[in-house]
This record gives sequence, structure tokens and C-alpha cells, in this order.
Amino acid sequence: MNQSDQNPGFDTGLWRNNVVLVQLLGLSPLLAMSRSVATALGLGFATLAVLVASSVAVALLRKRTPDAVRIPLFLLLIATFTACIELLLQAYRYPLYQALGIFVPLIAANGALLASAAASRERSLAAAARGGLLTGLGFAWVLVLLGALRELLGQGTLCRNMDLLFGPGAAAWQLQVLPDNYEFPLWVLPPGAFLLIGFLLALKNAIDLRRPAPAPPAPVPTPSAKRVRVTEVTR
Amino acid sequence: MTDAGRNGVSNATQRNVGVLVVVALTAAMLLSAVHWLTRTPIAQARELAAEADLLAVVPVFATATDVSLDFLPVPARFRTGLGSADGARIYRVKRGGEILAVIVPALSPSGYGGPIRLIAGIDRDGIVTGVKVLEHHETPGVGDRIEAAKSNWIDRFTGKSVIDPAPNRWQVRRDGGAFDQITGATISSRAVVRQVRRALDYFHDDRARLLDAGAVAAPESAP
Repeated sequence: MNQSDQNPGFDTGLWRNNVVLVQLLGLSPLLAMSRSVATALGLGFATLAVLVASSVAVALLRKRTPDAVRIPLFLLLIATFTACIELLLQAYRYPLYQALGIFVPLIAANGALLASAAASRERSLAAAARGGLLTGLGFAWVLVLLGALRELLGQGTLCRNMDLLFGPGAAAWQLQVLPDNYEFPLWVLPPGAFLLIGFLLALKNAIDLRRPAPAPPAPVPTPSAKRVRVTEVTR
Repeated sequence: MTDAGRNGVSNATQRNVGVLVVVALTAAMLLSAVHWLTRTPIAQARELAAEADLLAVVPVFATATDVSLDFLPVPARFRTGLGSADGARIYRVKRGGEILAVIVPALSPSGYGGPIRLIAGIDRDGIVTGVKVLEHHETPGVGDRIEAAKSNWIDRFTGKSVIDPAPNRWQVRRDGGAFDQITGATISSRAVVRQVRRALDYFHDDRARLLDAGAVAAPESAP
């Protein structure tokens, strides 16, 4: 176990091994819920919460988890926390819950969570919490960026319907960035989401190419648990 | 595992099952606790959301304080026409013994992307007080303008009745009717116009019962 995997660096979850931009996990909710900043933030937060909770739970149980049943166990934990978040959203953010629809229960099916749970089994409690948090933030920032781009390009606004998250007062947060009658449905529709995520991937790779290469290419650790796909730019 | 057959259940299997059972029970307990804690807030949130929808189609209900709400089930013989599910409710806004307006649920099967669920507020004289689309799968940026949040297209039904426009003009303009279709979303517009008309027709067919405050109704407890 190398150090970076035991105690994930700040950079790892957010950028270097970003769950969306590098691992390409969780694309379905990403593409469906990035129509606006509000839904993106909502789903990003819900996913983050489940990620942190399930990572911590997995780390807590790590010494008692037999290899043979680790996957069912991870899924059980993830599904439990997803159901909790779903109930809490219904109780305290009902309109947001309605806007997110099926993608709240589908958090349980997000591959990023299973990957993070598998990694957490090798970590201490604090490292797992940190890893889950960083992975979740890595997911959320791409989701919110995509939401902002799609909302801006598609409808000409930013932060529309923020009252879904922050209560009625936030309805006034909407910014009309482009002229009032501007509309470009392509970006709101799924093809626009695919195009934009493609551009984001390209941009990330371009930035990485320009940066000085990281000192020694971090040796891919091979924990006992199955490793998720890691596809970094290779040259 | 191969030993399991010979030695009964192996230690490893016992341990695996044991861990899973303990974790599953703990998870179930956690979920029950969260469920129990959120039960009341969830019921309240649902009621509030449903009521906000009702308010949107019957403005008088939003302003007056001396009105109350009850509901009747949609009679079985009208369910096909309205497209409403079993247990769908027609809410009635009443003041004293007088029904001021009814809120008819209707579901059009012929949206562009799937069914369109809406409610229509109709006052005692048969005039539409408001229509709101509750659920739809129309194309974002095009057909979704049937939603009040996206455009004011839906407001054009307010003030209409079964004779205004004339019955044969209760169609989109493309079909020779009186209602402008949403550009690029004729199918969505047509589905909504047709279903609002059906709600109005239903109101007239069942008017006597709907406006009879004594009709068998479950009283709605005020939230």
C-alpha cells in the first residue's frame, strides 16, 4: 500500500483521479441531472453525503468484512444510506426531491460509490472519510460545472430555481446572463450533455499535458480488493 | 466451499452469513429510525406540495380564508375519458354549503414524450379558473412550455368554457381551433387542449353531483 492510496491527497479525488473526468463513473446521473446548477448541486450534495457515510461505514467494518461477501456488504451499506438520504430529502426538500426524481434512489447504483467503498476497505477511518469526501467533491464540482454550462448555454440563465435547495428566498438568485429570449435547446438535451462532457474531458487532458509530469508516475497500487479502472493520460 | 458438502456448513460460510445478517439488521434498524423520524415531515411536505398545486388553479382558494376543501372520487365511468387513475380525487373548494369550484384531474395519453398529467380548476359556472401540468415528459426547451414554470402558454385556458370558444374550436390553431399551439410542439399542445376540454365535458356531465355540497364526500382535514 503506498502512501497516496492510504491517505488520498487533496489533488487525487478532485483532479488526478477524478471520478468523472478520469474514471468516467456515474455518467448517467451526471448527464441527466446537469441541466441546471440547482439540480446539479442537489444531486452532487446527496451523492457526496452517501459517499462519505458509506466510506466511513466500510472503514469501520473493514476488519470484520470477509472477502467473499465484501461486495454485497458494500452494496447493502450504500443502499441503506441512499434510502436514508431519499427519506431526508423528501422530508425537508420535497420540491428538490421531485426535481431529482429517479436519480435519488439511483445513487445506490452509481459505480463511483462501489469503487470508493472498495478503496475505503484499505483505509483508516479518517482516511476513508477524507477519501469519500474528496471523491464526492470531485463528482460534485464536475456536475455543477456541467450544470452551469448547460443552463447558461441552453437557457441563458444561471442559478435558476435555487429555491429548490435553499427555500423560497433563493428564487431571486436567478441570473439572466444572456438576453431574455435566448434559448438553445441542444445544450439542455442529452446530446448537449455528451458534447460538453467530451469538451471537459479534452480540456482536462490538455491541462494535464501542459503541466510538468508528476515526479515518478505513481505506481498503481494493487490492493487485495479489486481495483477500479484507472485511466490517466499515458504517453 | 467444496468442503461444505462434507462437513456441513463451513466456518467461513457461517462467518460470511453472520456478518451479512448483523449488518443487514443494523441497516434495517437505521432505516426504520430514519423512516420514523421523517414520517411526519414527509406527509406534511406532500400535503403542502399538493395544496400548492391546487392553489395554482383556483386563485380564489388562495386568497379567501373562509373556504375549505373536500374531495370526491372520480366516478368509474368517467375514468377512461379523464384518464385518471383509481383513487384520483376531484377536489372541491367550498364556502359554507356552496361549492365555489372544483379541481378535476386529467391525464392525456397522447403527449409527445408520454402521458401528460394535469389538473383543471373549474368554477361553478363552468369557467376555467386555471390549468396546471403536474407531470409530463415533453421535450425540454420545446414541449415543456406547457409547464407554467417555463412559459405562460397554459394561462390561455383561464376564463374559457365549453361554449367559449365554440365546441368545434376547442383545438389548436393548426387543426382549425382557437388555441395557439406552442411552436414546434403541436402534439404537446394538442394533447393539453384536448384533455382540458375533456375535463370541462366531464364537469358538465357530472355537474349536479359535483356542485351538491351534500354529495358523499370525505371531509379533508385542514393541514
